Amino acid sequence: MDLDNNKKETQTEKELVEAYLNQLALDTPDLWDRIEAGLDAEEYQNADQAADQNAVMNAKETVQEIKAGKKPKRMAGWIAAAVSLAAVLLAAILVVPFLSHSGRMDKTEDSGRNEVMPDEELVQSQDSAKNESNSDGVDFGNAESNGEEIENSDGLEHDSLTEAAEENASVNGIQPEGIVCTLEILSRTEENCHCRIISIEENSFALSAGTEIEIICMDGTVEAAQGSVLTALLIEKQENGKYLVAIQRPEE
Amino acid sequence: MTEEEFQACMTAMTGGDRQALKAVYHAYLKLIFAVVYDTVRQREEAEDITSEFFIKLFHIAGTYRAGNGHKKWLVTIAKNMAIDRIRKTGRETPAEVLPEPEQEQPEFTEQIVNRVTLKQAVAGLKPDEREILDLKAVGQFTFAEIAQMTGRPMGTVTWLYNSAIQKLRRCRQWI
Repeated sequence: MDLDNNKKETQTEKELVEAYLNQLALDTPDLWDRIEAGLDAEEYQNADQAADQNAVMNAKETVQEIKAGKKPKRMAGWIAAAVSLAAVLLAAILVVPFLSHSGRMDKTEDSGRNEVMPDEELVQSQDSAKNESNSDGVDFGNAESNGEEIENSDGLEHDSLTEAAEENASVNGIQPEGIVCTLEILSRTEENCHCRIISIEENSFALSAGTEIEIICMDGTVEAAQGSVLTALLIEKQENGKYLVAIQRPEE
Repeated sequence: MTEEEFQACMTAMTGGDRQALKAVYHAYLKLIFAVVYDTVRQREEAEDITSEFFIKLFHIAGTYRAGNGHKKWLVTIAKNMAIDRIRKTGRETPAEVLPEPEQEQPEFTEQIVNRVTLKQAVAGLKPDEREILDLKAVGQFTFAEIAQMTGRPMGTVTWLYNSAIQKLRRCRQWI
């Protein structure tokens, strides 16, 4: 009896489970369409994202290409900046010596004046007659034709100008070779003066009276050489074939 | 579905084969839906989670490693997804509103009346009982496996299953 009951219960349990599964099958929804739709949506989204990523990558590549394209321009800019800097430095290197030269020339001019004046006084105290004959002006080119006192004064002046020229030349690396001469200014620009030598004391540069030369205009030189004033100059030849001068104002 | 067949389906899914997913879907839809429904206890949400489960399965097919039983693996994933959903929604798991006992109508056939009464009986099961019943009846797990999966002692699992069967049997006796 118990075995029969157990068999019946087991059978009943199996039937119950089977009935439960059947009912569950009826209650379970068909979700396949939703799942496929979800997969499709994800694939579409992934495709969109991939497209977006491709677009982003393309944009990045484009930006990189543009950047790469700009690099040479930047390099050119740097080169231009470097060239500009080099030009400025070169100009400074070229100009600073001239400025210092000019400053030294001013000093030379001042020292020349300081030294000339006592000489003049000395000459005047020693021989008034001779001083009167030279009072119209000192022609440095014709200094040899004057008296001894004048020669002394010229000699002092020449020495001071020579020393100044030596200083300038030593700065520029040029061997000091001072020439005292008189010039006639034929034409002048801001940078250069075209002059003709009227007379020349020394002829180290193979210059002679009547020779036309180009002189680099220095501060004060142009003003002192306004018009066609005969000017006593200390000439220093430059490497570019032009001449650098220190002005010695002619005495009145 | 055998372990080898499931493994083959997973490999095919890794290559993007939707038919392999469909085979798994037909084999395990009832089990997954039952497990999810037993956790969230709301039909619409259970449908959502079940759909998401199979979509997720399609993507993670490559992570499956054979050897530990594919049904257990599937049930674990489905249950975790359902628990995650409950945590996200921040709600407790209220029992779905039970259907009102339908009045027996003379024109119903015996089969329909039988199904309706069985449905009522299933609705009257406790959540634990239904979970164990689903795992045993639908998943065809052993009591030992169910005990391991649910973290309950095997005696408790057996007791809950017998309790569920007794309730269903009583319902059947109403007929």
